[in-house]
Parts: sequence; C-alpha cells; structure tokens
Amino acid sequence: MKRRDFVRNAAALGTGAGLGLTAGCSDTGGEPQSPVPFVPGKPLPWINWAGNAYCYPRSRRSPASTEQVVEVMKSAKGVIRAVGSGHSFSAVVPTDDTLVSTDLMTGLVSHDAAKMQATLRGGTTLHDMGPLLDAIGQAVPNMPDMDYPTIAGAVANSVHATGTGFGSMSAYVVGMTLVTPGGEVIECSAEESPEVFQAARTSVGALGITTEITLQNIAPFKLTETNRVERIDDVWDSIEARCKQHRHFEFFPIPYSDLCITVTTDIARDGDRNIGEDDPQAVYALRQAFDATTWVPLIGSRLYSKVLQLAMAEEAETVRTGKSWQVFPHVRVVRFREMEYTVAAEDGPACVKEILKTVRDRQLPLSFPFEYRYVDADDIWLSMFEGRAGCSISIHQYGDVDYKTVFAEIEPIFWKYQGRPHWGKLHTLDARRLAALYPRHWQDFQEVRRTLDPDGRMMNAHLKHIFGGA
Amino acid sequence: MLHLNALTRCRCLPALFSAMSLSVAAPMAFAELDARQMQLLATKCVQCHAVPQTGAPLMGRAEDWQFVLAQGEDATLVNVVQGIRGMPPLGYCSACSEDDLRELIRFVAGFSAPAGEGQQ
Repeated sequence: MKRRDFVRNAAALGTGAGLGLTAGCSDTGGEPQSPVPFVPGKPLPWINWAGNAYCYPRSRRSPASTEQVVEVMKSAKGVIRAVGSGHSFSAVVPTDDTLVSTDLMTGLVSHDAAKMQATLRGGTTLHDMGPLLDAIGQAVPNMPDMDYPTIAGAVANSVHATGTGFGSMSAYVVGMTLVTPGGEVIECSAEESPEVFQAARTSVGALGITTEITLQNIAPFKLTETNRVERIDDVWDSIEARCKQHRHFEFFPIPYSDLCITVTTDIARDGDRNIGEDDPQAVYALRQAFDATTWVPLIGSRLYSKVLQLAMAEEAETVRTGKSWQVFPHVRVVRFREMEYTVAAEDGPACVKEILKTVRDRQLPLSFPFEYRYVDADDIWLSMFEGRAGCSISIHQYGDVDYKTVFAEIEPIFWKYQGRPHWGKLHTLDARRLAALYPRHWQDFQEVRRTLDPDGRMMNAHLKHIFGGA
Repeated sequence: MLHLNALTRCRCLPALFSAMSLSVAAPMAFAELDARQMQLLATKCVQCHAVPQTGAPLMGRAEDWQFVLAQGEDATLVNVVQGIRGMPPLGYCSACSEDDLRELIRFVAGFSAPAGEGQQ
C-alpha cells in the first residue's frame, strides 16, 4: 500500500463518522452481514445500515404529507418509531409495533430568498438537499461527510461535521413542523412554541415525527478539500493554528502508528483542481496490513507501525474541489460500527491521546483510524455541544468483527472527560448518567417530552433506556 | 475527476425521473414502476447505482448485471433485504414492501417481469 493510495482514501475514510476500510465490492471476511435472515414471502425485517439493529414491525406506514402523518399517529397501534435512512448505530428505530418510513416525505416545500431560508420535507436526504438548495441559490454552511441521512434524522441526533466556527445540523434549523403522537401539528421556532423548538432540535425522535424543517442557509459556495498523511506529532504542534487557518479541519489518528490522515477544507480558489482518484479498494490494505502483522508475538504492533511508515513514505495528497454539497460528503460503502463521544474542546487532545495509548498498551484489536473533529457550541437542550464547544472523537470497528469488547475498554476514558455520547451512535449510558451530562436542560426536555407524549407512544426499549421511560 | 463527474450526473437523476413518464422502461427489461416506486427509485437506488465510485453495479450498464441476473431474482431479493458488501439493507428503502423491492430489482438490474406482469 502506497501513501498515495492511502491518501486517496481519506475521503472514503472520513466519513463523518466513519471509516470504511473494506471496499465496496470486496469480501469482508465471510461473516454474515445481516443480523437476521430473510426468506422471500416471509415477513420483511427492517435492518439498520450497520446491521446491528433490526425489527419486525406489525405495521409499516409510509405517509407522504403532514396530513397523512397525522392520520398515522391517530390510528397507529403500540410503540411508534420513525425511520429515515437507518444510519443510526444506536437502537433508536426498532419497534415491534408501528414503523413509520419517511421515504415518501421528500423535497423542497418553500423558500425565502431574502432571508436565505428554505423548508424541506423531513424525509429529504442530505444527498438530495444539496442540489435542491443550489437550484434556489442557497446552501447549508456545513454538512456531514456522508449524505445518506435524512434531514429529520440528522437534526434529531445532532449530526455534525467539523469546523470550530460551525455547529451541528441542528444549529441551522430555524423552524420545524412536528406531529405529536396524539396527532397534533405543532409549528415551532425560536418565537413560536420555543420550548418545543428547543427540545425538537435534538430529540432522538422522542417527541413525534418531524415532517418539515426550515434551515438558515447561505449563498452557494465552492470548496477545496485536501487530504494528506502526516505525523501526528506535527498535527498536535499546530492544531490550534490549523483550526483557525482553515474553514474546516479534522484528522484521523491511526492506532499503533505515529501517522494520521489530515483533511483541510477551505473556500475554493481560482485554479484549484482535483488531484488523485477515488479508489475505495486501496483503503482495505490497512486492515490487511494490520491482520498480517499484529499476530506476530511481541513485535506485531511495532511491525505494523513500521509497515505503515514504509508504505506511506512517498509524498502525495488528494485534492477534491467543487460545489460545497459535492465536496463535503464522501461515498460510504463499507460496514462498520461506531462509538462517538464529544468532550469539551480543550480536552480533545488529552482524551484521544489516552485512547491511543490504551489501545497500544492493552493491544486492543483495532486498526480503524479514529476521527477527531471540532464543533462550535450551541444552546440546544440535548445537543452534544450545548453550552460548550466540543471535540468529537469517533472509534470504529469493522462490521464483521465484535465491537463490544473493544468499545467497553475505551468508553470509560470518555466518561473520565465528561464526554457526551452521540445520540445516534453506540454507547451504554442510561437516563441517570445522561441527565448528569446535561444539567441545565435535561428536565426541561423531559417536561416537553411528557407533555407531548404522555403515554410514551414514541418510547421503544432504547429510548426508555436513555430517557427513563414514559 | 471521474467520481465528481459521476456524482453530478447522479444528482440530476431525480429530476430526470420526475420529468419522465411514470411508466418508464429500463434499458434492459420491461419492468414498470408506479409513481410511488419511481420516487423510491429516484431517492434511494440511484444514490449508489448511478455513482461509479461506490463499486455498485450501474444502471444501464448491462455487463455490470450479468452476475446478478445469473443468481436469480429471489437470491437478489434476499441480498437486497439483508444487504451485501456495500449494499445497505433494503437498499435504504424502509417504505418498500417485498413487491416494491421486486419491481425495483427488475427495473434496476434488468430482470424480466413474470409473464402477464409489467410487459410493454
């Protein structure tokens, strides 16, 4: 594996959350990818993207409008859960009762050119959002590095990207239409039903179903993204300057290595051009190198580090330039599982250094690069960035490998730094411990939730675990 | 760059499909989609099956689908529902019934519809 190959795949690696180290069409090792078998003619399961959550709902509904969602809410039986693209790793979706797909609630509803605002239906994917907004002369200021989620799903979980001057997707929401479990339609914003608005901007889907979202946008812009392999010590020496100098900066520490992949993204300049080719297959070599070397007694991990250093010795970088909504996202075709916590921005370096040391000291079987990002503070009640600028650190494991053992070794380090888990990713915290991480507004959120859903109709097992039941 | 050019093409497809007749014939088959299925095709399937760098077989490129056609419709349906390699479970389509998935598979991959069904 050459450094050039590696850098080429920073795009595939970076993926907001994730790094896929096996290629889209390569064999991932023969383990069953699906958690449940399907037999034609038998009940159809719902399965999340990561393949670690599934259900067999008794009823599936696919409303295409707010009015139809009202009808669904009034007629549905049992626990109701909405699903967008199914990219959450946590079990926010599974229900044995009523599963509401937002697949048919897509597209642009309206826009205000003067205010630079646009209203989208909740099931619109971020993939489709870019060109829809571009056509009306608007763009979101920042986007996650993969665009499969729906806008409603992204907002419900405070899905984010990177950039010290940018909040999560929830931070750009200025209005929402919410249908409560009782079938009431609530228009909310900072001025109208502000408590519902503050709760709904990061709700994990506990308040009902969001049918429309209004975003505060800016004029369309172009970006240039540059990916490099660098020494991690060089990044630590200059990370503050890099964050100030660039519109977006993030990097991917590689376990058992002194190397990392950096990704800097800035407004495109005249003359910027693409360099390198996308080659998702090449990144699979990292796993192969890990598997081929780390079994060697005593020196395996050092051997792996040496192999990486030699492989990446040549100079190279990958550059992607284009419209913002074309440059922000990357293709994600490789299955993995992910845990992410956000610690206070100033604690980021110490936290990730401790994790890297722990992985090495305990010889944990983890070759996926981590992801390290900064996000600006906001005032959204249950946002991971509420009240403090955050550093989000993501840990990944291949989809065909047990993740629980490794994540269990690392998760306490996040707790030590008062980390807040990503709502859509894997963690083990319950309501009591989560409440302690959100001292200012946990009860505010709970009051709104109980008011809108007094019978706990949106509460599946996972939501009962994180919110403490109805 | 290849993948960006492809992405641009892909993003035009939803609008393209919307502007097309609701009874559209795929290049290699005679599958028919209703308006609902066409919407699901435009918002789900083309995210990958019209983007070369995903590694997914590409719509309209017959050679990509030979190995899929060889395994048969039922086996393909199982792979779509369960997910396989880069293919997400259900092809991201939570609104799809088994019938929807069969119609979309026929359209995208080029399976022939059963006799008396969807022939033009």
